[in-house]
Amino acid sequence: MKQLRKWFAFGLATVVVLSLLLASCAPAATEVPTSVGPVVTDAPVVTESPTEPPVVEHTLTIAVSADIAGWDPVTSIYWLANEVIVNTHDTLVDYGPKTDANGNPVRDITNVVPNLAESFTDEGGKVFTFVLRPNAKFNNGDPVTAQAVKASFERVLSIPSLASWLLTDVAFVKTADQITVVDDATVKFTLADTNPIFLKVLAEMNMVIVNVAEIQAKGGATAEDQQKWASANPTGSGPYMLEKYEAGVELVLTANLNYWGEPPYYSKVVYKIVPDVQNRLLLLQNGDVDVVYEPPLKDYETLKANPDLSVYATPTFGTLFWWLPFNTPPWDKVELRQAIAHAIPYETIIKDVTYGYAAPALSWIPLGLEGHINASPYNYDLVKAAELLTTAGYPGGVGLPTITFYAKQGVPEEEQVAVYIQAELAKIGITMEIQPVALAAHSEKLASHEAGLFAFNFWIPYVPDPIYSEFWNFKFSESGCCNYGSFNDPSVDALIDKGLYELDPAIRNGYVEEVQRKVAAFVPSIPIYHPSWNVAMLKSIMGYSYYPDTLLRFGQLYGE
Amino acid sequence: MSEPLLKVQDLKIHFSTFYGVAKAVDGISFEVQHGEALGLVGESGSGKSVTGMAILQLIQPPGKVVAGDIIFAGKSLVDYSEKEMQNVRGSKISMIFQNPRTCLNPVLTLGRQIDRVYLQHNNVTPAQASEHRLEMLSRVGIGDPIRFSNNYPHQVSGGMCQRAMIVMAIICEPQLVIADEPTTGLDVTIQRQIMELLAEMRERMNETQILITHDLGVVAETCHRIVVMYASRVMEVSPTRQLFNEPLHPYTIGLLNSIPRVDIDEQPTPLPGYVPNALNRPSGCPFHPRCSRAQERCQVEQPELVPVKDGRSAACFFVEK
Amino acid sequence: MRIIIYTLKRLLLLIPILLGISIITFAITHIIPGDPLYILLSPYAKEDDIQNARVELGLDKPLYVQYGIYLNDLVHGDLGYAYRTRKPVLDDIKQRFPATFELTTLSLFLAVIVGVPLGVQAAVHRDTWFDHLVRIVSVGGVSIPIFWTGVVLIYILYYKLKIAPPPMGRMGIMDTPPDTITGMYIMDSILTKNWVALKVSLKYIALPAITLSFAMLAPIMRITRNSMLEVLNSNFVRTARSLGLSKRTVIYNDALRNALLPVVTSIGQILGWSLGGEVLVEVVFSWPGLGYYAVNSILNTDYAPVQGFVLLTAMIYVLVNLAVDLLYTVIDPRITY
Ligand SMILES: Nc1ncnc2c1ncn2[C@@H]1O[C@H](COP(=O)(O)OP(=O)(O)OP(=O)(O)O)[C@@H](O)[C@H]1O
Ligand SMILES: [Mg+2]
Repeated sequence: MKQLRKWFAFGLATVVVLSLLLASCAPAATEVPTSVGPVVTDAPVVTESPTEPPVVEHTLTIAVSADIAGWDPVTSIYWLANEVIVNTHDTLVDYGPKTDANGNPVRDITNVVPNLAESFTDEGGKVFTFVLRPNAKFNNGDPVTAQAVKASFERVLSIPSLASWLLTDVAFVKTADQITVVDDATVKFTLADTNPIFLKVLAEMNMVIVNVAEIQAKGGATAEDQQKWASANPTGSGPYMLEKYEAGVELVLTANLNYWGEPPYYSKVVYKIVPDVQNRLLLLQNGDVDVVYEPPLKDYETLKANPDLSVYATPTFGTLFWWLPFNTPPWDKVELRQAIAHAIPYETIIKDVTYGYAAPALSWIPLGLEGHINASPYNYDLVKAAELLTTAGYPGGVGLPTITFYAKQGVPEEEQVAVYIQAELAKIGITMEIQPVALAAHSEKLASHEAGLFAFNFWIPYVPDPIYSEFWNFKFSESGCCNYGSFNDPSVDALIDKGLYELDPAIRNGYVEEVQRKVAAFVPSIPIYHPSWNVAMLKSIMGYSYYPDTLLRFGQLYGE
Repeated sequence: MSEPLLKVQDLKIHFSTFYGVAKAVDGISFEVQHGEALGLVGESGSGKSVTGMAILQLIQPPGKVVAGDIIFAGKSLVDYSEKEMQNVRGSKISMIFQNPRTCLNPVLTLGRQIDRVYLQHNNVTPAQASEHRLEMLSRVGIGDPIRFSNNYPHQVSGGMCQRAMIVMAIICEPQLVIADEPTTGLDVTIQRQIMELLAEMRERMNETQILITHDLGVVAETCHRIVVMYASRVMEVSPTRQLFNEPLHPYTIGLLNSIPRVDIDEQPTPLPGYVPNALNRPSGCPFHPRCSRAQERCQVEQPELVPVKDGRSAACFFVEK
Repeated sequence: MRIIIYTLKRLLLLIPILLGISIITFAITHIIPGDPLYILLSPYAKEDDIQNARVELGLDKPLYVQYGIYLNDLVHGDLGYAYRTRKPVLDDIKQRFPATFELTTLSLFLAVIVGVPLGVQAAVHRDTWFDHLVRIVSVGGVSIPIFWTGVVLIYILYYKLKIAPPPMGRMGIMDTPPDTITGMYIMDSILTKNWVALKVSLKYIALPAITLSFAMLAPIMRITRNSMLEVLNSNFVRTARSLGLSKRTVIYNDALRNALLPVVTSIGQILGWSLGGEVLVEVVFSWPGLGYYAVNSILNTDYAPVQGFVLLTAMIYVLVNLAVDLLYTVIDPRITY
């Protein structure tokens, strides 16, 4: 009896433990959310041998810090998702390659070249006609037709997003009737007005072509379900397709056998999630991974000295802006904002925080974009800053409220910069508190243009154009991207609006310069520096080229 | 006289504690004859239990046997290795303790605790061990040995625990059983039964026994000879009857006077003073601070235990030879 | 039988506990600043779009109504949707739980099979050099940050000596995991007799398990030692020795079995407490477990996964403690319910 009871209790304990185990049983099988299916086509079967898979499998492994799913080009904004999108989809046009003044392989932003479109014509900067590649297919085998291209842009217009705003307000494609199917292979865009940057907008990653027919067929009945499906299943025509995504573990891309172009050298690209940054570097140095993005700047020299590694530090058009409250008293006094701009130790920050891997910000438009001028009069000058405080009626900072600065958690550089600024502001009598907030809270504060907000925003123009940058940053807007101080000057708005359709480069550059001068006078934001984009990879990997959106195009890479 | 079964010679056991060295046993000698029941009496703290443990070589640090010899069946146990001692314990010499309930393993059944002793010392199968156990249990007066065996210690009474313990101690038929206050912690009625059982076992199994107690009444009934200990030393060794009739040592006399007696119509007179602390034993005769006959010599010189007459010994300068 | 009733009672108690926890986590996650919609849509979303989405998802309703909806879903086994991974939370948890469970149980197993004998020996050889060594190791286990242990092991064994596999999770890029049965690689490898996968998964789990078990080792060793010291002084151990039972029997059958109760109790607590260490180990070794998932969700203000994680953890904690209590009755016959 006693013995029995004992065994029974033991059994029960085991059952409890096992039930824990069972809870883990039948876990979500690591599904392959791709859309590989039989090639369905009405056309007679062409006896054309399908592209043979490459004999030798080359795998490229990239260690990344974290993953965020969501590969719908219309709604995606995270760089890793964006990189998956540009590698699994195609834009109609692209930029040609070149080498910059420092010998870095980069893209020539003045040279738009065909991509998914075999050729294109530009009639007066207003009517654009694209002829599609006859062999272009989506990764499920569907041909990329003019109808499909039109459907893809219609989809962008139908989903309220940054992408749709870009299409309507910047690219002047306001409605779907402006896109016409000339024939199966030809699609024509008739813009609402002349537009000098339409082609650049089409080269932007949000404008890639998706397979709407497949999304509608597989995504479910409602638009919401379809959008959910699309964000998990890339349907593009790019060199790769998504083979496997295991959240938190890895993401695998494989060569798209239906790709119209040269099959990529690396038939497999694996993103491995390695949260610890030092581990990513160890893995790279031991050759267990091939690529690491944005290695810590302090380790940069060590990596450079390693003969097995190539390290690329390419200047970007990105700017770290410090947004100041434009309308909230007392900061609505321009002298106060100017005083702050004079109190920032720009050179020290570049030297100490970025280890020199950043360019000084001389204006609100970076060097390299047309129309850039050295517009910023704000050098580091505490005497001038103090004078300006006095002019504003706050000598020695007396009477000014404490600034609350919101720092994004998990971005150490931004926090360090804030600390440097904090120290200098203290010298002229302004106290600043640094309050770290989570990513979402930070985004919310920015997007809602919270009154009295002091915060950084890192801006990188995916469309490398000055008016595009000015449109987002300095045209008046009470919410959304990216005029976070709600800067409002009707003359600036007018200049930007004119710049959007002005075809004459000289006149357009005049607008760009004028906006910079006005913004410099008002200081709604302070450009702190232009960081470089840093990538470290094994020396054996060739073909790297920097894109203005920083995203790597794996199809261009090859081994020795 | 034949060779005694056990000879304790000039045994010294010291405990080094934080406060100093406690001389728990300080040079004692006595002998135990075959088949004899020897009583080891003395007040609390006089070193009786430590002596018993020392015979089994079970003194644990910080305690240590610093001198002396223990000769069992002609062999010195002091020289035995731990392994050799394991074969002696439980098999040739075993011990029964006080508070039997706490002396049994609470998580093993009584049957299993008995069996493993038998299995340890005998080359038998578990079935044989269990058979033997049932037989022994009946012998010590357990009505339903099978049921009893399946119980855990907490499920039976203290007296029953002591019976189980006795079975464990005698199951390998040892030559010497040391019972250290075997009835302490038991009901008065049970105490008697246990004492009777021990006596019965001694006779039936031809054991030699050492009975440790501070109760002179108990030894008077069961023991042949008595060793009186006081403050780590032996004061007197005498056959039971002589000890009670004609105690030699002043301490023995005091001890006898302090217990109520049925045969003499006198009020008991307690010994004056206290038992000295083991850390700080008095010089000379350890009893001198409480002794009515003490003289100057007693304070400096330690009296040896010397034979007096009729096989009796005492450690006092004033006992007539 | 009484024990069944007891077990059922304890399991019933889970309901109010989980209910309470769901209220607390719901309240906390909905009060802390940061609107998840900016994660769901984009930080650049316009106010109108955010408003529309808020209405669509019912996030404009009063908190108690939202909680009602949440509870209703919960009862139907729906833990919500994780915006960060774009998957139902339950799927995410099912995928990650085995990784965490495997790592934790293996670490605990290592900690127990190493810690208990060491604690026993330390008690038996009390105040010898061995005892002091054990104490130093156990102080180390408590005071050396788990993150640091992991980093040092990786640096030496992987980076310098190249004998450990890369800290890249449960398997290498070229390795194929075993067919999924339980989701635990070691278990599945054995069940499917996939010895290659078994070897690889053992290789990969070794360092994280050692790191985590090092931290678990200290309390187990200390509690075993103290508990043993007490029991070794007890009367029944003296009895066992006086009966000539071998040293091994005395130490392991008499002393250890009686000293085990506090050790088993501590294991229940260690499991709860090791969660923090678990997260760090998962980060350092890129181990795709629940802990790192939860932390990431918190950082991204993704409510549902955090709530699901806390509920699951609470449930496991309660179940582990129930298992511990039931184990008591096996170890000690004096305990009954
Ligand atoms: N573990 C120990 N540590 C220190 N001293 C001890 C220890 N065990 C015994 N002693 C010392 O030995 C002395 C004698 O102890 P012992 O247990 O033999 O006395 P006893 O005669 O059996 O008394 P009682 O009638 O109380 O059982 C004690 O006074 C004590 O000072
Ligand atoms: Mg005693």
